[in-house]
Amino acid sequence: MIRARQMALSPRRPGTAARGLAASVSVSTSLVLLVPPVVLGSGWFLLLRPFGDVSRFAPFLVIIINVLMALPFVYRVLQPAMETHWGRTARLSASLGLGGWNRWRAIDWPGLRKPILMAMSFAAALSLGDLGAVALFGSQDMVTLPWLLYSRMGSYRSTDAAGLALFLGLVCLLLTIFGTAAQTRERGDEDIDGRR
Amino acid sequence: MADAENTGSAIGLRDVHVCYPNAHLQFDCTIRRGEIAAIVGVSGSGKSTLFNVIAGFETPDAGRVEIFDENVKETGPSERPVSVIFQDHNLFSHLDVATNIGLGISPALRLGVKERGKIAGALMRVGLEGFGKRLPPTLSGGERQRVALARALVRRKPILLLDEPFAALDPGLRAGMSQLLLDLHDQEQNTILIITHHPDDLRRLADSVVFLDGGRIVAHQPTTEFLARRDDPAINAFLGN
Repeated sequence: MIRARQMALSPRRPGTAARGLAASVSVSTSLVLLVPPVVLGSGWFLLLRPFGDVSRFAPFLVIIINVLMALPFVYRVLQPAMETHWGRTARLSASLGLGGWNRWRAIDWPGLRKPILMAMSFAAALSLGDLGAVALFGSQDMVTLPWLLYSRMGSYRSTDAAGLALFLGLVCLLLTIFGTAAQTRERGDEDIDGRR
Repeated sequence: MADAENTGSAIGLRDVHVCYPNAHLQFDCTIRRGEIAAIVGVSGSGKSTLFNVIAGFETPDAGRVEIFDENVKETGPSERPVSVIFQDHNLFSHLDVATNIGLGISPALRLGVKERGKIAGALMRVGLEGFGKRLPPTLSGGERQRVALARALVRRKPILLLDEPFAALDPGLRAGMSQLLLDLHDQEQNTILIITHHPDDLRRLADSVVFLDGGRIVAHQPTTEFLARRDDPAINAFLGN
């Protein structure tokens, strides 16, 4: 999506359609913030019910809904990093004929590894704590930590629930520390030309 | 400096038009083979656009961009017989000096013994022997520009474009880099196009000067003639007359 937005804006005179597309890409990543996951899940639930047992689709739907929920955060982490990276490397890479896999392996992955890991850690922490999608589609065959926590609370096993909540909180905290540490190191690093 | 008999065209811009929402640039000029031409002008006069058009980073709206009499208007930057050195962002900071230069030989970084020999030779020519394992952050500004020059040498393209390559260097380093560029030009006999803001660079380096004002080439003449001009207010302002 970030690349699509950049490509739409890359010509010298981006037309109205290109500017509209670029703006809609930015906005569409945030739209999901207006919709709680449980509402999103309910929509999918109602949509898929005519096609049979909804629990069959559960693993895919939980993934899709969590991807959508993480999109605004991932976009906000990656968009500035990718734009800065491409701003620094695009002309040099083009002049050297670096493209495709060669460019990704030698230039893009080393340059974007830290923001990508940060975005992934945020997305993982967010998905790990999500109860919205799994509350609708979860079953005996598909149990997540929030779902287990919710069911322990429902059966008045507060100590179990507290232990699970602590574990969940710690995992999310570790993921966030992992992502933020990567970003802190990134800020301290020199730019692509080697200047600090 | 260019041979008197070496008069074929290296770069030809034929009625090239580049349109922006609030500016219309038009270029027409010929740079001879083996010449060192300086592109000068105030900020916003179109120097960078001219550079981008020749390097292939921008496609003009109309006209022909000829390199050695072949229209390269639609040819990508890496396919043109041109090496470029920018003001900054010339090196990838996470790759060592030898690998940065090696990208000029093989973008896939398939570097055998022969290629490594070429890299070592290029480093020697720019006075950075033994710097192959160093990372760009450990180099000075002048050393980084010399690494970029070494990469241009291994690419062996007949035209070298430089976009204010000495802008971040102090006067002593500028003079040293200019001399290095002249020495390499004497050995390679390539065509060099250099954007600069400094009249001193014209005196030291250039056979001819391309002066831009308001998106047009208003003067293209031998350096000595250009430096002697007093008839144009824009040129007077640039030269500080």
